[in-house]
Amino acid sequence: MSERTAAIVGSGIVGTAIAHHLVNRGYLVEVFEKGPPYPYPHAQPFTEKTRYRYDNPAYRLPRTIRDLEHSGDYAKNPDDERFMLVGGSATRWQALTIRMLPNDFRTKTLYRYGNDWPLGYADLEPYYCAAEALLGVSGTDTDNPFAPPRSRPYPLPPFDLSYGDALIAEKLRAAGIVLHTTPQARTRQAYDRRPPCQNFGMCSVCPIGARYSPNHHLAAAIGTGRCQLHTNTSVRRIIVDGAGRAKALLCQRNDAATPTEHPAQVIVVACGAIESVRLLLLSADGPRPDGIGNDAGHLGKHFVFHHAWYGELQYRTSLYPARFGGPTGQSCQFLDPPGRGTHGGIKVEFSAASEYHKLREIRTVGNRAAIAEQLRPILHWHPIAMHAESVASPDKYISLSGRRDRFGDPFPRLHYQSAEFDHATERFARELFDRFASITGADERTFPETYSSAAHHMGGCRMGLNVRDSVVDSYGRVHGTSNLFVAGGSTFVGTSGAVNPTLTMVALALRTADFIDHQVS
Amino acid sequence: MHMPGPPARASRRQFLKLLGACALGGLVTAWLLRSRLWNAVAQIVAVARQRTNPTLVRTAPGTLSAEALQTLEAVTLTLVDTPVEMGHYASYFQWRADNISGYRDLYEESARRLDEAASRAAGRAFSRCDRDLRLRILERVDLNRSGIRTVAMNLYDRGWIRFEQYVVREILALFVRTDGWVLLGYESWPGTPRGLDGYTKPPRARRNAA
Repeated sequence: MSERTAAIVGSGIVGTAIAHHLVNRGYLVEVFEKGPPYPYPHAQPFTEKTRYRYDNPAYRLPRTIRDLEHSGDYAKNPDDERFMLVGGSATRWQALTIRMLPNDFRTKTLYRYGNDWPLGYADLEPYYCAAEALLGVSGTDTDNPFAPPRSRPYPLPPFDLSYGDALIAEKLRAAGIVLHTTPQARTRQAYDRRPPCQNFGMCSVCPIGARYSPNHHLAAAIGTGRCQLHTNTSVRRIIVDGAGRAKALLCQRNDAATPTEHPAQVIVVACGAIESVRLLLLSADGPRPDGIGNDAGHLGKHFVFHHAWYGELQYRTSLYPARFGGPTGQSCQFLDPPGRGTHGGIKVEFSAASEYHKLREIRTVGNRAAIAEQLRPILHWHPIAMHAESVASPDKYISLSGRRDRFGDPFPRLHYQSAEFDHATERFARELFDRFASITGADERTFPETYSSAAHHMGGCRMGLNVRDSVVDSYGRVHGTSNLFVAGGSTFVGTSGAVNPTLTMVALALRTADFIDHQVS
Repeated sequence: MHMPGPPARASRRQFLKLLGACALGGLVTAWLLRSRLWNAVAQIVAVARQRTNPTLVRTAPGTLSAEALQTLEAVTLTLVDTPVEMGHYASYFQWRADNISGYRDLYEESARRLDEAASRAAGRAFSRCDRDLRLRILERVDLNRSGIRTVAMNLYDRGWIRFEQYVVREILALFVRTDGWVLLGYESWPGTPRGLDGYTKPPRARRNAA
């Protein structure tokens, strides 16, 4: 009997979860990563960043290999939000792992916006548990009355609220608002060959692997001898035969002159929402002139960001920020608020990553007291983020650019223009922000003029019931093909409500891997 | 009785021709002006940027001499006016000299200049001068200097601007992210393993003070 083989495009958290799963079930897996290797545990990049304040260019692809043309009202460059290297964006994530609510899967039916997902919370719940076990999530729902039902406890106990979050939680509680601990893929105790968190801080790069990084399971998969990783290798096309069977990937090392074909029995595209759409568009052929899975014109559409406003509140008392690297306080109370439908839901978070924003440059030298005076304000500012869902619209889409990479393939182009729904959500976010500020007695407040996507890129290969409404089915299988899958945020039907998408991405990935193992091969 | 002038149709046609010619001429002139102006403005901006923010000369990295390191440590102590453990500053200087083009020469050159100034004033190396003298030598450091004054200063002393940009500012940035937290009462700073017992309470020094 011949070996079962799978080729996976992208070595991020989704591609790695699938690779690890399939390798453990006897597959031979090849993983193709456009970007360079990235050391794991991430001690070297951590040291470069924190001790030497050095942004190593070796971890960034040149503009001849990666680029993104963008237009619309998003003020940042979305290309900067993509980490194209081994391990992908989850080498540097905040590791918030919160489940979507059951209602988030049915927004069209319940609130008349967006679209319903082709699966419900109950279908995904066992995979949420599996994803939490894979990532080593620390958390509890005992302090969060808004958490959805769960069949298994969290693998690890929660991280307590920080001193500042606890002070604020007390004030909010008196006004009927719940600020609870945050489920996160950060080890409260030793777990799965990962050490317990030692609270280095600067958690966007963890030097010891306490904060989950996909490289942990990628290394394990490679260690079995059944997984091969190709770095600095661009996948240029998926080759599909006339019967709709994906035969091979056309790949080219970033410095090579010619491409090579890599056949596999199963092909999984898991290279982020934007690049996944791009690869399906680039793979257009005779029977599929508009790209694979694009028979009804949905490929590249239904793309959304989260809209996050990172504000700050100032208090007379010192809150002592930045004493824990991860996030501790969140409020899921407004994920499903009254009025949802006229605007989106919002998760309120006290983001530890933002606690450094008020670090100031020193302008006076040689005088200790003056220097301390310049630094002291940071003790009194507390970051607060309004993390909101958004809605798909005809003005949010991915297509191909006129600009081309070194192989002659068009780069992706992203157009993103906020919809009226988003403006209504922003008004709700401002009201909520002011409410939090008033209740907690903030002396000063700053609400940013522009939103951030929180680096959450979703949609473009939307899942659905059939080829008329979507690109893939609920398992990520591309309509019209038998063995080609798309996995990750690109298959989302809209946003993941207002919660961070990664846990849902991994849960869906494990569901896809199970399906491949049981049904496809 | 007033007689009508030349036929209105001819006059309108002439007027439209003239208008068209003017519009075309205007467009061509604007395009020429824009491209020339654009180039000129871009050049001025590029030069000004270079003058206010001089880039490092990309010389080869290499090992920093013990003398230069000693001078840089003395600069650090003088600037921050706080008793700090020098280990992570020394490591920072050595690593950047070893790994990033231009830093070794910048550090050596800056140290040489400071030592020369110290030698002229007191006949000894900068690191061996007392704090008052070191402060006097560094009194030209001005982190609030306007852009125009920076450009002017760059014309005759670009080395000093480089020293401010790549030595002084970087020392202070490192201080803010490390010992700055200690100055505010923290036991240690982000980037070091701090354990999970302390972050739910104020720093010890603050608790004791309360």
